[in-house]
Amino acid sequence: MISDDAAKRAAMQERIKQLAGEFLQRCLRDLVSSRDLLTRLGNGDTGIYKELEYLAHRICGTGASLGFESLSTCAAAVERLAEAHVGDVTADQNVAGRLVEYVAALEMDVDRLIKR
Amino acid sequence: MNRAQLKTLLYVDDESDIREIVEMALGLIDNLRVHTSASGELALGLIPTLKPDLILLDVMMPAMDGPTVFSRMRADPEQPKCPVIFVTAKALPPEIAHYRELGAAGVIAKPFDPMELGRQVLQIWEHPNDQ
Repeated sequence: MISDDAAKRAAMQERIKQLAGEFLQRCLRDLVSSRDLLTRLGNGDTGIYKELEYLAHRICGTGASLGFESLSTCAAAVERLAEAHVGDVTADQNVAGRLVEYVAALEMDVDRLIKR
Repeated sequence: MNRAQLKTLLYVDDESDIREIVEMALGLIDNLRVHTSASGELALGLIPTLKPDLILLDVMMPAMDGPTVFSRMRADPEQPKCPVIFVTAKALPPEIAHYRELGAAGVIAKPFDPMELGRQVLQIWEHPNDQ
């Protein structure tokens, strides 16, 4: 049986709200790391895709579970594009440019959510 | 499987927020003890002594992903052969079919509704072949 204890459920929702605030702050740090990875990609380092995919995956999965669907969608775009290029040996500037745009969109959404 | 047989559950995920949410969400299930592990490696060390009735495994984790943890569990005679549910953002029908072919009891898609997670877990526990 699953408890219908209203107090337990309310406490859980309250804690999820707290986690959501902490998560957004952590996103800011992850975005700094993402931009560093993109700088490396711009310099020709294609070894960054796996790490970028993982950072975006974390934002995507946790964000959605905390109720940030738009953030999750932005992160999913980064995750999918990075995943598609894991193993590339040469840096594609078109891909790098799209990733910069996607990460910028993600950053705007994090800012919007923090200011909300 | 009978609901009363589900007493101990292990959730494995590298994301601390998700572990906490899952622990709270599954804490709503009566008489269920929920344990968590932050990595596949730690889980493999914990499982033989904990002997959970059910394991929920995140698919995408650094170092050792969920399917690797699962295959190591199945290959190691020291590891109990309890059912495993994969938890993943990649839960399209072909992906679910793939995890089922690996031997998973079920798949739970991320993101999940914390208020409904307990029901999803019990549904798979009681009717593992329905998915």
